Amino acid sequence: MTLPDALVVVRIAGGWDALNVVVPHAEDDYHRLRPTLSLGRKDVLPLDDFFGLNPALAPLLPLFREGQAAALHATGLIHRAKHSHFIAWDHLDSGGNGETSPAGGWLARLLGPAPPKVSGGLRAVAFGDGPSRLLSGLSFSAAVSSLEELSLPGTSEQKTAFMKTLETFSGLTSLTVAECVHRSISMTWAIDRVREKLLQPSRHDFPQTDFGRRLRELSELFRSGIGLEAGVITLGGFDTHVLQGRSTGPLARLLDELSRGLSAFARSLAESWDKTMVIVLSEFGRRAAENGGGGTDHGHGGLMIILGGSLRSGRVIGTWPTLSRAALEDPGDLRVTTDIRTGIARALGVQESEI
Amino acid sequence: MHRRSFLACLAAGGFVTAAGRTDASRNTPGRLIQLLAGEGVSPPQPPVSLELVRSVRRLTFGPNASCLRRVQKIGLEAFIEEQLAPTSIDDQALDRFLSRFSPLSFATPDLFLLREREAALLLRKVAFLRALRSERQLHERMVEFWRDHFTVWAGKEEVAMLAVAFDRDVLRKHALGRFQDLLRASLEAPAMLSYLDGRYNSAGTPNENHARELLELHTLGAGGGYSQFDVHEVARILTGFSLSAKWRTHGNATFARERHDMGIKSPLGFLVDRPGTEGLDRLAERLGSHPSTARNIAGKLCRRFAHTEEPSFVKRVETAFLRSGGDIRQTLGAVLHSPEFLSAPPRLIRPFRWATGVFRALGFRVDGGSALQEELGSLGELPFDWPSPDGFPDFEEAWIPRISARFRFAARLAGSLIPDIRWPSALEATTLSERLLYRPLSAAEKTALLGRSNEEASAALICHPEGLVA
Repeated sequence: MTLPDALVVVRIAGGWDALNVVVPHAEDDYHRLRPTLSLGRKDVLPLDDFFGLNPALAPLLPLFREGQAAALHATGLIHRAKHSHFIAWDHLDSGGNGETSPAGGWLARLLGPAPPKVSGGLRAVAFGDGPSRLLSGLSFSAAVSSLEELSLPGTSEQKTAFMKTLETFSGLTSLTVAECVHRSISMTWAIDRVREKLLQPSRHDFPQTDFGRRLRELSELFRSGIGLEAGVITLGGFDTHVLQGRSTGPLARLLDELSRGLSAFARSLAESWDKTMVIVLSEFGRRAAENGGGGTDHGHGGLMIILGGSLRSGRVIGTWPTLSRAALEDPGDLRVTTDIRTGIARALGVQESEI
Repeated sequence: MHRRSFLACLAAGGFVTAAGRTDASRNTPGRLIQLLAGEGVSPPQPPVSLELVRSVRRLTFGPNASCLRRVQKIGLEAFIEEQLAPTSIDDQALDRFLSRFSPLSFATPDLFLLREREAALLLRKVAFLRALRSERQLHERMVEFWRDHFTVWAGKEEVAMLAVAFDRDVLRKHALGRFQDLLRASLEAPAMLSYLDGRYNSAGTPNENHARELLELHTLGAGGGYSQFDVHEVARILTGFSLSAKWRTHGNATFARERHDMGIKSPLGFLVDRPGTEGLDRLAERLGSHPSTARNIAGKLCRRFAHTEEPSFVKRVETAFLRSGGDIRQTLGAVLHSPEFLSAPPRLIRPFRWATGVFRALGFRVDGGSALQEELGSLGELPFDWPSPDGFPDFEEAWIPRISARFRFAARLAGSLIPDIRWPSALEATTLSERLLYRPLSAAEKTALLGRSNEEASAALICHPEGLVA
């Protein structure tokens, strides 16, 4: 098993509207179910005769054209998670099968057994407002909103004095938390080294948003030699119950931010993009039919997008279950034809049981 | 009240400057932190056991000298009883201090005189000040508990303004009362209705957001035994309760009859045949007394205060909940008067409580304004800033990867880099250790501190692993 040198998981939070992201524009039922929200052939960026990208994903189109992107449609958790954001993320981050939810996250388990590439470095970082279940259990991982939050003020002598003293203190106590303090100290050092670079402006046009800034920081971390193997970034706001819009509006704005960010990220990595993989996934999709408020409610089947410099695809993959009345799953959801963990495992070339 | 006179009254409270600009309270005394004379200067006598210190840390936002003296005088069990009856504890000094923030007592429509930023700043400032200064520490811990349980996010639309009333009329009012009353109040609370999309929940096109969180998080819990059908039925009961267009002038008139589903609903096998608020009454009654709710609340309380969800312990607490008709005080009493509470395994304290605890232990007066709020945000726990309805996580693993942020906070605090907070450079490491760790420095620790500046030594002591756990 050889994992990519750099693995990024983008968590699309809220359950994205798969049908309006990678659009089955040639399917009549799609237009029937979405009288005001559907996108037609002329609206989308065609990937083939049947599917097209929401035009807000235009920055990703070159990657699709070069075969460095793939969209796995009708994917999700085979075991239903009651349309609940929390249960679905719990299964998706932990790798649970719906019956049991293992301790720690699948990414932590996947990276954990191999020795770190750089001793005392930072193996993985999760950006977001909250903690990350995906990395839970992995030593030398950090969860932050911005790298700045972990950086120390003062001269390097002052920082050293502080950290060395704290290191001695934690060495003297038997509390388990002391070990965590110890690891956090080495991470603080690793991050300190990257910080300098972040003060320079980037040549790549990352969006001026938290998501864009985090992708930029991730890019610098990957290239810094501190041994970073994986990054997790969450982009929220996809819980579009009302007035989600079509090629403009709230959903399109998020897709624009997503695709501009990922495109800048891919370019910023230059040749290391070849050894990088980005997995974009969401906890579920949305109801096939639009609701009364110009939005969509939680639905089962969703979408995963995979990007990477050494990918040879450029297509929509998976088994399309169609949106016919008979094919939909109660209460009117796109059916899941590929378990999302199978999708992740295939993308990474590992056994499904490892996810 | 007009905006201008309202601003004047805010300014009098030091909350908004004369120019109308929101800022840390410029005119209030105690804007700069001061060491309170006689508070925390000497370690309480006789010396306390570290076990006792940890117990008090689990009950409070961190012990201070007066609080530990009280525990030593009356004993831990009596202290718990006293804290469980907050009205018996004199908190007038804080009440008087907070009375300057007049919007805290505004009726809901008047809260819209605040801008969103002002409301959010006030909300967080007061949450911090109460945690820091209230003598009713356990009550404040329960307000924090319910703030997580019934999360509303001040970053969404008008929630920041509405949350001022939510905090007062729902969370604080019922924090140690009956769970059913708390739940009932949440169902119609404008902040919750705004946060969970009540305005989009109409007869015929129900929006299930509130209903789903109500069952999954607020009451039965994820494994609590409900179906998609139940979610749908609960959503129907909630239809029409929202913020109407006339909302800002009509205050609590949140019910729009024409948008309410008048039909009979049957969630979880019981019938709700009355529309409107009577439906909410019935819903709160049934959900509030459901065995799954008892288990959910009991489990969360056990984890929060005793750091364990050992099944027989949770079962006892669950029984206390059900026998008392969902009385929160009695349920919490069952958690705290237990061997499990006394032998709770050490666990990393969440950052808000940890930072507040440092200030409490040192007797610092901090105003809780924007400078401090920025620090709390960097630490990862600014009140009312958790976007999703599950509340700030209550498991250690969630906070371990953020420990480095505490180093930064400690270095900034000890280096007087946090605006408006000046670190007392005369504070010796030996004194600091007595105050933060309740024990003298060991010989090895003293050696480690040789040649360190006050700043460096202080930062390291603030982050000492012993001070990170309760």
